[in-house]
Amino acid sequence: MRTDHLIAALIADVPVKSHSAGRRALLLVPLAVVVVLLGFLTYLRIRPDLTSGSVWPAVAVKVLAASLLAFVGFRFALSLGEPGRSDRRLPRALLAVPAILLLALGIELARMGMADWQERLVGMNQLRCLVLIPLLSLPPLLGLLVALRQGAVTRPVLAGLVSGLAATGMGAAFYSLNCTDDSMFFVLTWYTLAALIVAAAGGLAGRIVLRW
Amino acid sequence: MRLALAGDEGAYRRLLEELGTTFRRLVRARLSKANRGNAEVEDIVQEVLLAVHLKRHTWDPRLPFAPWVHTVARHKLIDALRRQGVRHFESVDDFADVLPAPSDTQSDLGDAERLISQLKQRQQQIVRAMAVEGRPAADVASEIGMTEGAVRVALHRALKDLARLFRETQ
Repeated sequence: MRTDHLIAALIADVPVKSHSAGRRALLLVPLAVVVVLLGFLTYLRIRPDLTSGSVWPAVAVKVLAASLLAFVGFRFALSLGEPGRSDRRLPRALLAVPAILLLALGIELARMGMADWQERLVGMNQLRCLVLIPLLSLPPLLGLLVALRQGAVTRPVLAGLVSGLAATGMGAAFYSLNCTDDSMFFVLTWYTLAALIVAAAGGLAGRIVLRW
Repeated sequence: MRLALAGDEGAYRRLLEELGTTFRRLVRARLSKANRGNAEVEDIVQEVLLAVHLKRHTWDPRLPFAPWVHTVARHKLIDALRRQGVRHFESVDDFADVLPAPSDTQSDLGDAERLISQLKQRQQQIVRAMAVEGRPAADVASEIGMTEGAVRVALHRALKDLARLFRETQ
């Protein structure tokens, strides 16, 4: 094959009609979130005591941190599919997630002290948390990875990892409406562990499916 | 690229030729160290051009083109060179003047031919006619009794498959 003939063939190719990874993600990820929502409403449901005054601040913190992780992680992952676009603000913005949780831990310590911290850390639902968060994160992770295949990812492991974190944010936002362990000791331990599991799965998958 | 995306075929041809020359110079500088021939050089140049072409929609026209093409080309070059067993990425600047990259030695009996023969029959026919023999789409269309549009769509699929085959070559 001669290169000038290849060039002629490339020119004769159909004009660009592939959608960008971003546009595909905007379709696929909300779809995945709807699947998660349906699964959540069918099998988990919102905890009945949500509206009582004592629990909503903790739930609000959990949902806020998870949503932030989802939002920033989503944009960060997509930016990794566009060569030449480097936005240092996104990885930095991700740090806000642990910051929020640590701040909430500080408030919890100020109000309740260190008493029973081990019990609070172990909680009632650790295994449930470790299984359900990855499960709820799976559809958005798949959606993001499929969308990113349309992009041109030059760091597949990182892109998969960040996709995993973003997906965890989406899964955990739902899960935290159901889980009754409200201590930040619990959240920082088990939610983080769940996030690492999903991120590792994403990184591994990214290495395989995001090559081009 | 901006003009090319807007459908200016002349601009796209000039861009691809210019990129091809640049890539050829880069690859040759690296492969000459490893005593590789023109066929391998041209294989890699073609693989990178194909990647730039198939991923051109990931460039945001509001951003400068150079960083984009640099990142894509670097990614594919490292990938392709690694597969050729070249692990030393010396600075190319020293070689650039010594080794010009003429475009009249573009004949190639490298991997590309072998890869094309792995495509589906209809795809092979179209790629051979257009990319190997350099015939226009309209010509090929009338010969095999397809519309020109269908030929272009089939060509597009074939190019994507070809990129995959390039990638899977060890």
